[in-house]
Amino acid sequence: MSDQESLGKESDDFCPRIVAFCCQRSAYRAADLAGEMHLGFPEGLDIIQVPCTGRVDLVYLLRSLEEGADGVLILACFEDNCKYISGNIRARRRVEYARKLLKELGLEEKRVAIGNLASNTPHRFVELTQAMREEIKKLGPSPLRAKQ
Amino acid sequence: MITAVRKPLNEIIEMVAPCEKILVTGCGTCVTIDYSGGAKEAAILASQLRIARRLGGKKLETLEQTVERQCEWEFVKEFTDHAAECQAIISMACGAGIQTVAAAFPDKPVFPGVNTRFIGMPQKQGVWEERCICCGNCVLHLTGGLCPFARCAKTLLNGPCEGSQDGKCEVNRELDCVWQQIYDSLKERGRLADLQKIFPLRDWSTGEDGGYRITVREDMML
Ligand code: SF4
Ligand code: SF4
Repeated sequence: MSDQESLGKESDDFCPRIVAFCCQRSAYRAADLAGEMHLGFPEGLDIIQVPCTGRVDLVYLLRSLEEGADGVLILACFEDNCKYISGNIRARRRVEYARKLLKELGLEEKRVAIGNLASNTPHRFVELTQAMREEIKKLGPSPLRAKQ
Repeated sequence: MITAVRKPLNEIIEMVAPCEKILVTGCGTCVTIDYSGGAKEAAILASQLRIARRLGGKKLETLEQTVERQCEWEFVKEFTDHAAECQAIISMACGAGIQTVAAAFPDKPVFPGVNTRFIGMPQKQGVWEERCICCGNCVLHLTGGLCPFARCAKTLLNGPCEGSQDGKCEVNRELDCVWQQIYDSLKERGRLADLQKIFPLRDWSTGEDGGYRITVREDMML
């Protein structure tokens, strides 16, 4: 049995590593609030604060996977609510493009995703990160992790 | 500017298959502006190639380096140290840049990372359109600033053809008929009389059909 199969089989024990690039004006504050309210974060979540999700380059998404993430999530302001006008829309388009790059590699496109929220929606922060965790649990560990 | 698009990944994977360490090079000018072969695109390609190799159970080492312009000796020389460490070089510059790198490093395989497309301009953010085919004998002073060679599907000099309909080209209805545009442009500029002139048969030897072209400026030579 390969490493990957064995990791996949133990899916109940599988704790996805998810990197979340969080806009400092919305998602990062929502995460803070969720913490203060003890709403509970999904396990295995790595939060990276960015000034605007428009700053998240494609290569950050790929390198996160190279470094062992099972999934990468961008958490941006709601559309029409970006301090820098269109950073969140550019982030959405980049996620769409990144999915094509993953497809070229034969990797599951859903390993990269985007969600939108506001600074005063801590429950939504937990929902979005939890939903990503469930999605990645369905996919199983990243094949790259098994080949590290 | 010269525009390009990244080559399909599987083609590049095949080119580098025998290598364990490669140099992925970007060009800091035209292909940076059109997002096909600048420093960011070199980093993305290098990452994809490492991932692809790892998925196959092996390792690929990559170095990345971008210079101002790959179409000049002075700049490509900057690759020397990194190139010495690598078995092959991928150039993400246009065809001119790739050939300059290949000539500068004759002992290394040099692979194209992009397909060079055309001389053009960004019509709007994210959309590039062809504008010039380097004919070597410009007629833009007679055509209202619109190139009939680059923009007419039939390269007509005395257009439009009878297939022009509602301002669109019969070869591809998505494209504007440049001869309709030339008419509109000359009218707006009060120069419709230019249209009365018949262009004589054209000597294409100034274009690519006369063999590859060389420009010499003796006053600039050292
Ligand atoms: S190598 Fe090609 S893409 Fe780079 S500056 Fe020269 S012409 Fe432009
Ligand atoms: S007429 Fe010739 S030189 Fe002028 S834009 Fe067209 S192709 Fe280029």
